Amino acid sequence: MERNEVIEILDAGNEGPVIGPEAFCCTMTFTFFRK
Amino acid sequence: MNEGEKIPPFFISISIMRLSHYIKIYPCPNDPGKVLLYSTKKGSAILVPKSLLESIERGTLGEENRETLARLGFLVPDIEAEKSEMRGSFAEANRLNAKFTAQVVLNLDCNLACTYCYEGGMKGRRYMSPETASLMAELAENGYIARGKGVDLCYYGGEPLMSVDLIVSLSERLQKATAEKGTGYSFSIVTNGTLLTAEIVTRLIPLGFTGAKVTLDGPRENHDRFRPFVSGKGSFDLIVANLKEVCDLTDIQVGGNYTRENYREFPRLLDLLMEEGITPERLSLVKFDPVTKSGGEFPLPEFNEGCASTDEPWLMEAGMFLREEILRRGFHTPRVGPAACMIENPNDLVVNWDGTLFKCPAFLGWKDLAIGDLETGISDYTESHNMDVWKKEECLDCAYLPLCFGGCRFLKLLRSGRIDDVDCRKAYLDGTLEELVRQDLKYQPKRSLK
Repeated sequence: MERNEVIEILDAGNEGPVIGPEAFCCTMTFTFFRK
Repeated sequence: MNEGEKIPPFFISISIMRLSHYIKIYPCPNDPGKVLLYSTKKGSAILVPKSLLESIERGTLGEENRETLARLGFLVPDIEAEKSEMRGSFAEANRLNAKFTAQVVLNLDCNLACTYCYEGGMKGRRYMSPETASLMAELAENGYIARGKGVDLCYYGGEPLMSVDLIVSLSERLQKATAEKGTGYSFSIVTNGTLLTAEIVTRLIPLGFTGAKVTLDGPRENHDRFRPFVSGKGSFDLIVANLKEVCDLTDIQVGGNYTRENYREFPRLLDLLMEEGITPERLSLVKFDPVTKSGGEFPLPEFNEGCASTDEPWLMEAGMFLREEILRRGFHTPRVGPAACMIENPNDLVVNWDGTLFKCPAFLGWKDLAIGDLETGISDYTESHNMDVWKKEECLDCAYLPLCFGGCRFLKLLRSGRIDDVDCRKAYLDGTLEELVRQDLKYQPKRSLK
């Protein structure tokens, strides 16, 4: 029997591909601008 | 099955939908009957009854839930196909990238004498010549603008504002070239902030200036110890005075570099900024990072306080503590979410003052990692940068892959002397991700399903 339990969406996250052009960065040593 | 015939929902639930590889399940202390699910691939978070996981296992999930979970990245039709999709993530991102992006090192000179300077022993009166600048503009014009791509540069140093005339001449040329092709030119600056006056900002904005990243290493006494002028005088007061003048004119990111000994002092900087009227809505971002060790051919022999790994337990404590302090005061800081090293983006370069080319600004002191120069072009760096290092089963099976993609190549380089493996973030994320996600849920704006 199929069930639809309650899903509470706290944050729907990002639409689109996993990595967008804005997500390239130097993750540890610098914070650079990616708009 | 004939073409156009719909797959019955029953068949989907039993045979197709599976839990994604890239999710984490955390307990819900306030409600033991529920769990918090976080998708590292989408950055989505949901609260569900534990029975929902059982329904997924048994294939009895209702159609409505199945569709919601698939859209949020928690369910996938085929986990092997999902891994293949992850392998190809960058091809898609690069296809979507419509810009040439480069960090341009205008000089290696500086009016400060920071104790941990990342340019270390390379510093000196070395400035990009007009000829080298012209070669860089030609690369942008012929390689990218001519093909309809826009240009987004980040000027870096040394101290880039000690080369402000070069910023102006390069910007005028590239602004004109991109306008003729109907694309666009913009630039940002990573600066120590001492020369970032309202007059300079007002002069640069019409040329495409979009913002600056300025470094403040905690409260005055700490900052002035780590980032004094060459004369030895403190730089803190001048930088804060400049920020007050310019933070409404352009986007300002405040960064800060902490050590194990001083990170607990950094929240006092945030309070001081607010007392000075530099309130959260006047800054686009605040983010503190640990000082890394120096290395390469020009190390700093007198500086020993930096780290070379995210696995050090104090780093986990420090990162979470400082992020909480930033967020609870209302400042903005980057969300947890998919991120990748810039070396994966073929349109992203670092152009050194002498025209040599690199893939990361932290590689500047490592001659073996130069990928070419402006005169002879770019050579194949697949092997030297171990480009496919994370495309192995161990990484593809790891739930943290979308947050890491092999981690920071520079940290691996510091530890091994070469990029011979991934900079694995598993231990770090095991110790921090749950808390980081909870911070975002508490303080950052909620994103809704469209």
